[in-house]
Order: sequence, then C-alpha cells, then structure tokens
Amino acid sequence: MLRSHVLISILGSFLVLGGAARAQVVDPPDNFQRDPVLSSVHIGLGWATLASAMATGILDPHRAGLATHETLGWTTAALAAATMVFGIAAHWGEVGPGFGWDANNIHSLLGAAGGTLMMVAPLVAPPELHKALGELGTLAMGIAVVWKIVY
Amino acid sequence: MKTRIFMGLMFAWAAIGGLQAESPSKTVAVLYYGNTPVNSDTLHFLDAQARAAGYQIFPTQDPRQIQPEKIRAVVLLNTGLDAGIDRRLAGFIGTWEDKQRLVLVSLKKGSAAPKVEVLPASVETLGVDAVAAASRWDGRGLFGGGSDLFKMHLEWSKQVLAYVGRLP
Repeated sequence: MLRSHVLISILGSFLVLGGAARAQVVDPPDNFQRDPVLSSVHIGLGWATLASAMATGILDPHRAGLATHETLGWTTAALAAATMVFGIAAHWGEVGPGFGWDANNIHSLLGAAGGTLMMVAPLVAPPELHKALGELGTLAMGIAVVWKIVY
Repeated sequence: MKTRIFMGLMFAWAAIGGLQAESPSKTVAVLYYGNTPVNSDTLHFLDAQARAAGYQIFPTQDPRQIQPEKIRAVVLLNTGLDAGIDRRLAGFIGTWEDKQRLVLVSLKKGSAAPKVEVLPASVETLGVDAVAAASRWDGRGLFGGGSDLFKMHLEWSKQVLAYVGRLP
C-alpha cells in the first residue's frame, strides 16, 4: 500500500515536472532582409516621378512648347518605370495576394497603376486619351505616395 | 560677500552634478537581428514612442555594443518566429545578470490578430518580462484614428515603456 503511494507520488512528480512550461528556444529564422539602399532609391524615384509628372501636366504644349512637354513626358515615363522596378526589387516578398488588402498592397497597386498609365500616355495612348491617361496616372501615383506617408 | 557667492555657486554646481550622476540613463537599447521589414517598422515606431516618453533608443544587432552602465534597459526584439525565442536572444539573456532590465518583445510571424499578451517573468520567458503581439503593421490612418493593428502596436509599446519607467 505504502509502496504504491510512493510510486504514484514519484510518477506524479515526474508528470508535473515534465508538464511545467519551459522556454521554447528556437534557431534563428531565415528572414527576408530589406535592402535599405534599394528602398531609399525607390522612395526618391517615386517623389521624382510625381514631380516630373506634375511638371509635364503644367508645362503643356500650349504653355511651354511641344519639345519641353515631350521631354518631360518621356522623363516621367522613364522615372515611373525605374520607380516600379526598384519598388519590386526592394519590397519583393512584402506584397502579394497573401497579404490581403493591407497598406503595402494598396500602395503597390496604386503605384503600379499610376506608373503604367504614365508610360502608356506618351508611348501608346491615342491623342484623344493622352491627356486623360497622363492625369489619371499622376493622380494614382500621387495617391500611392501620400498613402505610404499616411499608412 | 564674494566668498559666500562663490561657495553658493560651488554648492549649486556640486548639487546639480550629484543629481546628474544619480539620474538614471534615458537610453533604451534595442537588440534585434536582421534588417527585416518587421524590424525596420518596429524600430521606427518604437523610436517615435520612446521620444514621446522622454527616452531615446539605441538599436543594435551587436550585443557587445550594449554597455550596462550606460543604458536603462534592453528591449529584445524577437521577430521572424511564430513561437518561441530566437536562440541568439536567449543566449544574450543568459549572459545578462540583471534580468529585471530586460524586456522581451515577441512579434509573432504570420499573426494578424490585434491582441497584446503581457507575460510576467517566468521560466517560459527565460526569467524576463515579456509582451507578445502580431507582427503585421498598419499605419495611423488618414484621420489619425488608427487601425486595430496600429492600436495593438501602440499598446505593447506603452506597456514596454511603462515597464522601463518603473525600473529603479
């Protein structure tokens, strides 16, 4: 009788000790690393694109002449492309369908839409849509930039 | 008269010096590993919150840069894991004598539940006070109200800074 009590007590102690919460120490994760240089270049290019797009819109062919407007339009298209490329390179893995409607996804969608329209406007847009697409692209890019500041 | 003024000034200088020597440091070291998006967002956020509370943070990935006599506390940023403590942080906790001055912040990978868990020092947390929350970040929002995730990050950072403030 006494033996069985002692045995049960010892077994109980083992169970209690075994069940006690212990720290779960795990090996370092293989984290996705953000490149600070690519990220900074993307930010700088985004602002430059926006400034260039607004200058293009303000300095239209009637005000500044066709050559100036065209030069600014091409510059904006190139800057928009570079912004998108650097954005993808810097933030690959941070956006995608798996993240749902989060702030980064919305920023990337607006930026991609704005940047694409900025390239479409001078390259392939028909004359009757050129102005509207350029303005829409600038608006989308502007919202994308402000969105990132706010969110 | 001149001697009195001189003595008075000397006394005031000594008193101010004594007070400064006694006042605890306002620097909070933050030990983290990896330039990850979560760490980057967390450090920026914590920096702003700490400044508002009168502290300055010293972020580092090198534990050797943390000098116990120059800092008030060490925040250990445990990120990139869905559970458990990063072995490198566990190693640092093991080498630190005054566990009271350590705070473990676990931002769980893959979690988006806007909930803050406050975990008092226990075997489970390697003897240090801890908070746990989701790693997902959201901004303050256009009108400053903030999403649930923003409020969650605000909550754990307040808990951490309040703990740091209570340290002797």
